[in-house]
Amino acid sequence: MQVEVIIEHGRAMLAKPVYLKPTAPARMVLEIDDEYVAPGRDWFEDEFAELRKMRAQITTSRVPDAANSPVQARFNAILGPLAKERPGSSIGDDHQMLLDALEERYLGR
Amino acid sequence: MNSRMPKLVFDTNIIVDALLARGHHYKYAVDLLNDVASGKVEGWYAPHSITTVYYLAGKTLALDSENRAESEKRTRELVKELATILKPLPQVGDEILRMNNYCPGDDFEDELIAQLAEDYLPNPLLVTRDKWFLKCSKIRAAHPKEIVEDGYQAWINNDAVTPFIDLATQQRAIRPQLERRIHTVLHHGQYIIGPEIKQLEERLSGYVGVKHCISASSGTDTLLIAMMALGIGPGDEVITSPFTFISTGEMIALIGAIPVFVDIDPRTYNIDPAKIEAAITPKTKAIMPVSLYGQCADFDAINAIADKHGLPVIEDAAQSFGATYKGKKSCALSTIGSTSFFPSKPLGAYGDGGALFTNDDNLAKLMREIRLHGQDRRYHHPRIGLNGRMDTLQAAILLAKLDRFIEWEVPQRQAIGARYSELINSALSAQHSEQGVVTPYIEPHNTSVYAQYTVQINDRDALVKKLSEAGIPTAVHYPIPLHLQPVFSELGLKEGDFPISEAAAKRVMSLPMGPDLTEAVQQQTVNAIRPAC
Repeated sequence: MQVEVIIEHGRAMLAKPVYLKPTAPARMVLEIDDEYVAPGRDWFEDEFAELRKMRAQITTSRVPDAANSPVQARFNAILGPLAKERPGSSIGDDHQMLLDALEERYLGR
Repeated sequence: MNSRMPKLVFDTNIIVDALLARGHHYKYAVDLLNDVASGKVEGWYAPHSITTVYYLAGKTLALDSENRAESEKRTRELVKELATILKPLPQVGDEILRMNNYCPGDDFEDELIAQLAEDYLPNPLLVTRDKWFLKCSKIRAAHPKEIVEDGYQAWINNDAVTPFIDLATQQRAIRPQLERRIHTVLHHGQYIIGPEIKQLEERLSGYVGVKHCISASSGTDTLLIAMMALGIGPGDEVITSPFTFISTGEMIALIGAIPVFVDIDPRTYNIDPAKIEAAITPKTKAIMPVSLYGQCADFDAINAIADKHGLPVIEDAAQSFGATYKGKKSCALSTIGSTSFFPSKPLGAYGDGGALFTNDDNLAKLMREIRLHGQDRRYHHPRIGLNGRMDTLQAAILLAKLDRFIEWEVPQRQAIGARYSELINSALSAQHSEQGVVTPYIEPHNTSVYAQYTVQINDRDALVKKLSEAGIPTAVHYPIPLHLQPVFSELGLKEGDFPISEAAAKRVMSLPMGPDLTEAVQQQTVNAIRPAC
């Protein structure tokens, strides 16, 4: 049979309840036409895939080097104790962070 | 910087990388910002994206800080700092109406960034690490690492035309100030004699160092107004140079007076003071020297002759605003100084404009009245005048340009003029001397603003053609001296009457010039001259 699913935040949810037998597999394959699949966005995709795995372990605190870089010196001066090198963020990570920031700002969480 | 260089448009992700030192490649983004800050390349951001930058930077800093108020403050300062480095792309508001079929289904914010860049910038280059721009964008996109490693030369637009005067680069440099000034006029709606007129006149009189500045509709009308204020009329004679733009002689004739020409100094192209006295008659009512090509005439000598004969002197300073003579500014050297703000002039409006300068209270009052239909109070006209006011919008544009003009463009023009002479003189060895290339001569007591950078050469037509083929525009200022213009045939003057002006008219040609002219274009121009010599 075919079922209607709604895709939201990467999760497929059944539009109407379907009662599955206990023997039904927990994983099923959802076929998506190629024309609906957008290509990846990140210039260095491997870098960010790796970073996501490592993020929890990254605890860099190195201050960005401002030698011969007047702009970096200006940024460091403004950031003060918050001036430090940070792990990269993929385009998708940035979008998620933006959503988080907006939600926090406007939903009070 | 010029139209060939890429104009960097920073995507949100790259801005946040640079601000917060994010990822492996943030230093490349900061390197590019350093280049923008030092003037090596232009850098822009899309105003609608700045809130995204604020939220991303703010969220990141909030997570790293125990003090939310402090991280919020630092975020705002960072974003403001960024706006001192990058310029905002102009956004009129109707861009979304033109985004059809740009890249269906993709990121609306990104699409708008690309639309603004395409609308506004020649040769835009989007700095991003979002590969969707590569797929979708009509403009070129590159990762900062790629731009830094390949260099800007890799992104040069070789099809771009070298402009004779690069007003576009100047406009981009001050676009936010221009927009703000224009919006202010649109908002208050005082299009005639609005508050910007008084502001401009005060700033210009302070800059020149004279008591009064009277703004006007053009640098031609200012000559007319000056002569009307001095009471010059039919049958009177005004002494001037034959080697100048038509308006100088034209206004003398328009008022009914007779232009009496005096030949020029062969080195400066300005009126030769040694020849003035012989031209003075009982009908002479004024001397009107022209400070040609951006260099002042010899005013000590001219004023001495004028004083001896009780004559006023009007400096036609249409090309010399910003220049100095013995430490004094052009327009402050005589009874009246008259300048032009034609767009291509050293200080140019976006239409016609001009200004008069004097220390004489009575002349200033007369010139103000003549400028405004001869009116001394509302609907009361003791004398004939003209509609000679400057538009408020033009005053607003000049105010937006003035700081850059005073602080950067005037010294830049002097440096570029000097560099041209150095490049040409070092490129043309003695073996080329028979070609007769003569670079401008600037008197030791003068500084020039090089309204034109004008050289002399024996075979002008050949060099004009050669430079044109190399994509370098030139102009001739001026091919026919005034005494040989058909309109002045009634004066009965003929070829040979002013041999120095006539010789100059046959040999002069002007090269691309302006404060934003790059050394590369200058070198290219000189290289194109060299084989012809």
